[in-house]
Amino acid sequence: MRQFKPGDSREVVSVLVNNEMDVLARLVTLFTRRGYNIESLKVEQVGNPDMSCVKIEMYGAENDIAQMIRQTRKLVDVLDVSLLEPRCAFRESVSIAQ
Amino acid sequence: MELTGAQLIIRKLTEHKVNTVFGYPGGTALDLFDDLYKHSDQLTHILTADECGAAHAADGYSRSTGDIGVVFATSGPGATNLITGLATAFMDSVPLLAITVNVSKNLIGHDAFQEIYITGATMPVTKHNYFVDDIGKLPGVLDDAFKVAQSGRPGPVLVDVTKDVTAAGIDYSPGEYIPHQAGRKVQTKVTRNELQAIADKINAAKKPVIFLGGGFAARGRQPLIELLNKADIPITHTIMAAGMIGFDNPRNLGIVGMHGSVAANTTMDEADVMLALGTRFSDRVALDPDKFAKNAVKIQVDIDESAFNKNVQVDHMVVDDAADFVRKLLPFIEEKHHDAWNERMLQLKKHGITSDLDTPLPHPDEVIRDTCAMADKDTIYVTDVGQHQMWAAQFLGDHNTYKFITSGGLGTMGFGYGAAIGAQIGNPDKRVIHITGDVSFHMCLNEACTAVSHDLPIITVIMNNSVLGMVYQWQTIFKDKRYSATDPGRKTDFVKVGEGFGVHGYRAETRSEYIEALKSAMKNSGPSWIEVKIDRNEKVLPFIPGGGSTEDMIIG
Repeated sequence: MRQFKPGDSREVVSVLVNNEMDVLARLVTLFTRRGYNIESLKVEQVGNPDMSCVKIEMYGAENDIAQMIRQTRKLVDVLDVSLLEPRCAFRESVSIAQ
Repeated sequence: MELTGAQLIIRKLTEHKVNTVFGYPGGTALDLFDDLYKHSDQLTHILTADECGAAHAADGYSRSTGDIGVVFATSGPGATNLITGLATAFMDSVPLLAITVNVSKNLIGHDAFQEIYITGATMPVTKHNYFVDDIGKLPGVLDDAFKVAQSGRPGPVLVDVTKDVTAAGIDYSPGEYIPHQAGRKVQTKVTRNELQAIADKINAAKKPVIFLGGGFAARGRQPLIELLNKADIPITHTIMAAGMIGFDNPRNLGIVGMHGSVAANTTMDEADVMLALGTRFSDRVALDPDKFAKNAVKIQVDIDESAFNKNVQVDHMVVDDAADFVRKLLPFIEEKHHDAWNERMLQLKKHGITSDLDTPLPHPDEVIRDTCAMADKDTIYVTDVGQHQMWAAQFLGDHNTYKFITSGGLGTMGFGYGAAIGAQIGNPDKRVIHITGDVSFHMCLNEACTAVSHDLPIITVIMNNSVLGMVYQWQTIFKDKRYSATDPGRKTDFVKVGEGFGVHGYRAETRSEYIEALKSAMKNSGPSWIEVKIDRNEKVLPFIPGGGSTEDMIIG
């Protein structure tokens, strides 16, 4: 497991996925086996019922985040991966949902 | 036409030009195996001793032929037995298709007899997997599975189909490919500017080196040799790329890493430009990632973008098929002569490795070198994992080019016999030699029944030192000779065990006895085992301890 290091930043990775039953398990398994903790996670519907958007909050150094994005992009059910800017977007969307 | 799910699976396999399947039947797979029986003229099924052996056999088949390997298993334990085989193929990027049949849809989630959530269990060890409980999805999923397994960085794919789907009917139009899911396509086009920039670095280098990994495809061999000659560059490689460039090629300095040659490891340290092709710089290669090729501008080419900066930080990354990249780079490379650098190579290559242990038993290097000297040039060598694997990788190549099949990434003891069976089935006209150790072989010798059933002339060379050699070596060096669980005192008589299976058994305690046994084994139509005794104090050298660098290398 990776330990937090000074300089690690909080990032929110936004992942557009096929809306398959096991897609969340794939994402979570990937983060776990690469040694990254998921701080929080949210699955949202998008306009198309075949797709979903998963927002994953994680901590890591720049290279860790880049590596995790590349790893996530390799999943067959992943259509797009991006880093959310501004960084507060996740918190806002959570509070709206609540 | 109206087909059942089972008929559709068989149909799709033949459409994708599969003619051999390894596997093991069972309750849920009854319909699937029934259709396999009806189509035995198109599809040969090889029954193994267990599903793990079947997965390794499909793996060995794929590695030795370049085609996808296919394995069938039933639900529950049949499916879980595949896991080590899938993980082995995953770590070495081998294209496999595993088809498992789960319990019927109405029983899923009820802890039914032999029910297991195999897609969940194999998520971390497959490139992708599919659970199919709807016959309508089956055609698209099967086509997708072939595509995913073989495209980009290849890997194993598992398709789990419920029993009711194998029996259900579907109206199928042949040749129609409707993808199940739209996958994202990786852009893999290196630009002209990138090629020029990389060529400039190589053209200006005084001490260039090419470092080759298992991701480099055989079709790139010729352009690569042209590149080496044109730019006058030495080459080093990982154990996974062993055999790609002949060891008899004077530019080849051998293996880099923990048991790499003095020449290869030192060259990586001294190089000013390193072009890495299809390698992830694993911890057995770049033991200390910060010190790896420390003086070099590092250029990494890989089809998998997640290989970049995963282990070693590089200066340039190119997402492309490594073999295609070399072909594209070639016109940008200038003809060069690096006389001083070549002189250094010659000097480094004098550090040969020969065991000087005082023993009447044959030395490991003699066993491997004698094997290679007597075998045909196109022999396929398959190993298990441990000391014998490293000796094989180090010494086989002193003679000629070869095909070397080994579990590099996962390091799976017990991989060898299954993989050798797959290689022999895929290459009936070639000699397959399985090099193993006594403890690795204890993990897979039950596959002898498969080799006997199909009269496969595989020669298994069992290097018997009566201990768990590699760990024993570590305990000798690091644990003050406290041999915890590495000296089991086994009394296995391999000749008798082999004969019990119907194998020709031999035992050799001297070099000449070994040569005689090998000569005799080469005349047998079925499988042979040659047990050759070696001393337990033989070590794999050179040896860089984990996390160390070339300065920490133990040479003798």
